[in-house]
Amino acid sequence: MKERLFYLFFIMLASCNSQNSEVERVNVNPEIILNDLETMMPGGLELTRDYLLWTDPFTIENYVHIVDRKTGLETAQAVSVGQGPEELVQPSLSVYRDRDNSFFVYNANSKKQFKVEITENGLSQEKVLLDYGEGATITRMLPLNGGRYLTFNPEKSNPFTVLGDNDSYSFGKLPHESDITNRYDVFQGTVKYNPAKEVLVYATFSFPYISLYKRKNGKFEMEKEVLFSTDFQIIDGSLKGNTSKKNISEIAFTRDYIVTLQRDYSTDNTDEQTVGRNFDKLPQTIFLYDYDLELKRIVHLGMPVLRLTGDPADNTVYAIGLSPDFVIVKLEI
Amino acid sequence: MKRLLKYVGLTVIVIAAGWNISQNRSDVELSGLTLENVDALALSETDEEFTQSTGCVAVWEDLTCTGKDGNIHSYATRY
Repeated sequence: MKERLFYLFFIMLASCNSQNSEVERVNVNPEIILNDLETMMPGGLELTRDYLLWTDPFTIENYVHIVDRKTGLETAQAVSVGQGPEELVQPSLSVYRDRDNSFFVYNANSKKQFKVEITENGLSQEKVLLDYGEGATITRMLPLNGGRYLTFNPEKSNPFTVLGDNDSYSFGKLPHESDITNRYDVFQGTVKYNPAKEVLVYATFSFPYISLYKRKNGKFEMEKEVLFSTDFQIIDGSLKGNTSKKNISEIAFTRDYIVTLQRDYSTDNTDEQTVGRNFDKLPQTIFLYDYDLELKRIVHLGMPVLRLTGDPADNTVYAIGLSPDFVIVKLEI
Repeated sequence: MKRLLKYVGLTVIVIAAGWNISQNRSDVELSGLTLENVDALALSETDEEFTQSTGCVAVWEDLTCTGKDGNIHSYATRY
């Protein structure tokens, strides 16, 4: 009898351990705070203390649109496109998370960057001079705490570089360490920094990978990396993945979660090769990971979603979605 | 209707930018890259036309692609 009880207990214990914890899936109805963004395609969405910033990559003027977070009203625009001294040819946006209402606009490979501060008296724009060597194929730049800047180069084996006057250093690793010829194409991705937790997260668009680095004693160290799938091959020196699926296209931080824009293929099996710029086919789900990169919840927003940002001080997420034109929505997670 | 108005508006902007360039070429020479970007992405009738002329695929993710036309295209990939 005792033996039978022992075996029964053991079987029950093994059953519990072998069960995968189900990821919670929820449906939400986000609040629309700004309707009808006038753009062919919003390029990005960021957050400062008081403002939302969205970008229009296909404009000649007014690349950055500044929206009051409380009222949802657009209050200003900034940054013109061009070759003038105060203009950028191909601007990209990041924000200073350790400063109240400042953002960073850069043209990575032309070595031209600006810091723009939103004040009560308007906008003030000043040049930022960063030295990161010649010929670097940098795709991302972002400010860190304490006036430092980080660059990302998808062709370098140590792709991240913290810039400094005499103490620049490179760190990190690419998702696949074979010497492939198409690193620039497959290892581009989104790189985001949470200054409150001093955490850096990198995820590739076309390759099933995400990694997390934490700043310890002034230097970044990898904490964790996840390869979601091994569905790829190296053919004639080129890395070829499953082009019918994509990985993570946006990353946002909240107090408790790393939020990503990803398609839930278990409920939405869209072939990504058919999407292109058909915005009706955008993913409608955001994935919530904890800061150990453990997936906790999948949230369905009920609309196609294009861009994400979050507030590291709480669990508020803002997104640009389609309803039926481009809108900015807000939700608590 | 709104999308049609947007496309018309963008076409006007591009034409105006082109006129502005010719009037102000000595002061501000807009990068051929910029207009190349707008032309290829805004005025292509289809994404297929963009791919044929550049060798890049138009996407909504923030990627860059060095096209066979020698230009760097935003929101595009070769992969």
